[in-house]
Amino acid sequence: VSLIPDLEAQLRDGAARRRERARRRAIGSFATAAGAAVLVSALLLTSGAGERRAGDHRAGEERRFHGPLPVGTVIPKGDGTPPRESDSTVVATGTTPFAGAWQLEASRNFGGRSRPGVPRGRCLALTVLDPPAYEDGTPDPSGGSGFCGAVGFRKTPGFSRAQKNVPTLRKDRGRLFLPKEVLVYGRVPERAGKVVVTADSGIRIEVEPHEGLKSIRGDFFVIPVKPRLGHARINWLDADGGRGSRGIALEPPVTKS
Amino acid sequence: VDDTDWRRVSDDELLRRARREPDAFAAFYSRHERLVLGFFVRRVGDAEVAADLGAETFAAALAAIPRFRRRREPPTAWLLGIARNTLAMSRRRGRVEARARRRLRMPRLDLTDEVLERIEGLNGTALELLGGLPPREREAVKARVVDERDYTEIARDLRCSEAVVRKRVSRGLAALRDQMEETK
Repeated sequence: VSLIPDLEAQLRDGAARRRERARRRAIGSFATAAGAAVLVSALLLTSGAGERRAGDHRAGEERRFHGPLPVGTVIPKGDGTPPRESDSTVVATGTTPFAGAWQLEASRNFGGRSRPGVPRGRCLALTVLDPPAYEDGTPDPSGGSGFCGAVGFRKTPGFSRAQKNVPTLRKDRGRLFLPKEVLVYGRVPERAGKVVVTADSGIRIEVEPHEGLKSIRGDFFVIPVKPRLGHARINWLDADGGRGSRGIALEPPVTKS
Repeated sequence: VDDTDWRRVSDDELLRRARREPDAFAAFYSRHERLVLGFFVRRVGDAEVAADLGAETFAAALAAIPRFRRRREPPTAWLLGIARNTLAMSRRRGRVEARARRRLRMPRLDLTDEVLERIEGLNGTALELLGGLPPREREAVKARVVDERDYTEIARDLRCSEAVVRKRVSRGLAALRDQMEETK
């Protein structure tokens, strides 16, 4: 007999509602993925970097920006801008204060002559959907970043880290344009409860990972950080708050170079 | 295993089945409510607050079930980890965290004096039972659950490996749970 029978009943109802929601979501994402596969080329073409306006990207009414695709959408090989090298699945989406909307995609590199030098294995690609311009108004042509394999992170299995500068680091006539925001992104094991960035300066940023898909191993994270935090590392924590791995150091311009 | 006899189902199995069977989570709650409520009432000293924190902990556990994977530690350690986070978050915000309950649309708990008395009665029960554990397990459970220390630190102090500490905590918690079942 429970001490608080009401709570037991509430939790039973809550579990039933969650199960029903998960069932509906599974049916919905299948239908969405099928429909979105047809629309995906048109959507990505209209959000291409060449059509983006310089200046304050948030002020424009006329900007041609389409939000991220629903999580679970599969972008077929050859579709999208740039054309995807293999089927690519949207695994997480979100927004950050400066970069705005982003979309994270997972795919596999099966090797082959079209991608010389790119490690085989699982790939992760981050797209900033409406990249903000530099402070002098010059548009940033690069909206994407990605990597394949687990190069360099063999001691942290299931955990990877990459960085995307927004806008991209640029040197023009002796002037250095530092990014305003660095998106640190990657994959974490499914048992991760938090992903944490810590810096010597005492800064600590904790986020909950985005839950991945059934068909793709791991969960995912995208953390916006300011450049020049000092010596900084990223790690994941388990449900008890215990460190999940030895951690991975962040790179310039997050760390001071 | 008889589907309706949840007493014979392990914690790991209960959590696995809870994704599809609401009764499995209700059984998990029923099995561990005393452990969690006792954990809170000892820390906050107020039965009503302990009940709210307990409700939030189990709601957060329910939400985290898709992430739950079998690990070296028993599910009770996972549950107490959520309880510790709930308490820390509530202290930081100066109010009892209710985010997980809101997501599940759980109404506010209506607690009778009798229920509150029973929760207050848990204050000390687990500590008393702790005294009945073999010394090594008692030391490990106290360090991990009561003092909330890291496994690494405990292993250093007890001069043994982390794996040994985890095993002692696991056995100790299982024994405590059995004893609490008996005192129901």
